[in-house]
Amino acid sequence: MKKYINIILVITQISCSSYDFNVDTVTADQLFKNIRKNNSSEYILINVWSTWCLPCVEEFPYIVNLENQYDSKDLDVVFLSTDWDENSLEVKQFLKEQNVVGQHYRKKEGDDENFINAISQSWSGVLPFTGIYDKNLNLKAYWEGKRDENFFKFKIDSLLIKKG
Amino acid sequence: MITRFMLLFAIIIFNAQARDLDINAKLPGGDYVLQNIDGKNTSLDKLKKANGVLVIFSCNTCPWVIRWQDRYNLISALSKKNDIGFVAVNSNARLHESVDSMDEMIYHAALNEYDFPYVMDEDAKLAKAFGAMKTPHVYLFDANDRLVYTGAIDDNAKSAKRVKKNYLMDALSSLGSGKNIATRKTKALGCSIKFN
Repeated sequence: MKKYINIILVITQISCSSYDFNVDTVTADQLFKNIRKNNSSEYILINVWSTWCLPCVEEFPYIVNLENQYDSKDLDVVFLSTDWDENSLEVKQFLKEQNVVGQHYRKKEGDDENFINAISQSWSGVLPFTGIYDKNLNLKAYWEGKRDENFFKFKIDSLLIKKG
Repeated sequence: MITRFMLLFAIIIFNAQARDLDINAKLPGGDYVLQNIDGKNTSLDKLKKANGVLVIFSCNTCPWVIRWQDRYNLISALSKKNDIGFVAVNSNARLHESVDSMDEMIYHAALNEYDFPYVMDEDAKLAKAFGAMKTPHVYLFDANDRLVYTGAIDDNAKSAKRVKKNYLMDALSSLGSGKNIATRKTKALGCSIKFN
């Protein structure tokens, strides 16, 4: 019973609020196609996360902050949730709590190995995963596991400096 | 400038952790002491059988482990049938005082009727030696201690009924009957191992 009450509460909270973001459910191919179509930034940072992944949740605010610290022509931040279908409402609720804006995604269930390899051949599948891609969607930097804000900035700055 | 160099140095050190084992790699840490839920100390050298040993990095709370663990006893039975040792290893050192404590491991194993050794890897020594990053992640070694299969249990964490590719089960059967293992390396999503 408690479970159902919680679900109703979440639905009520969500239905009574509007979002400054959108979450599409996608395969890796659809993800890259959408990014290619809409991107106007030099680099795109994709953070793969999940609501139940503690390190993901811990580093999440650092990544949200990046959007405010870099010009949109330099960097776009894309969150890609790997939550299952039954957690889709929690994903939206969490993004709202984190004041996320813009277009974000949730992985379509299944076909995990192809999904992992499409994001990066070097990714083991551990969460969180972060990849920085250039505007042609070539992977320029990546790392597995939680990192702090300085690490994120160092990696992004290194790419921007190289680019000049 | 000094801060930048220190940061770069820290990044280089962080990236210097052990790489995940490649196929044909020799079993590392075979003599490391691992405490089992039965209160006795053991090691991979003690747990391996005539045809090899199967190691699953696991834990009590990861949603991927929770979904996959309805297959653990089937894997245990198939390992036994093929004379291959089987052990689940909890390397979540950061959580060994809380949700992954020995008491919690004993309770978790009882609750899920584990019929195989479930051991604590103190300080995550074994996970570091393997270069293991996540749970669940399996490593299957042959009689010569060589890695012959690594990666996922199968291709569907959510439902055993909807599995199309039974990677680990197939590898166990092939290894036990002396046949070639068709798929040697796979990937799956999983939780990070919580190192100290």
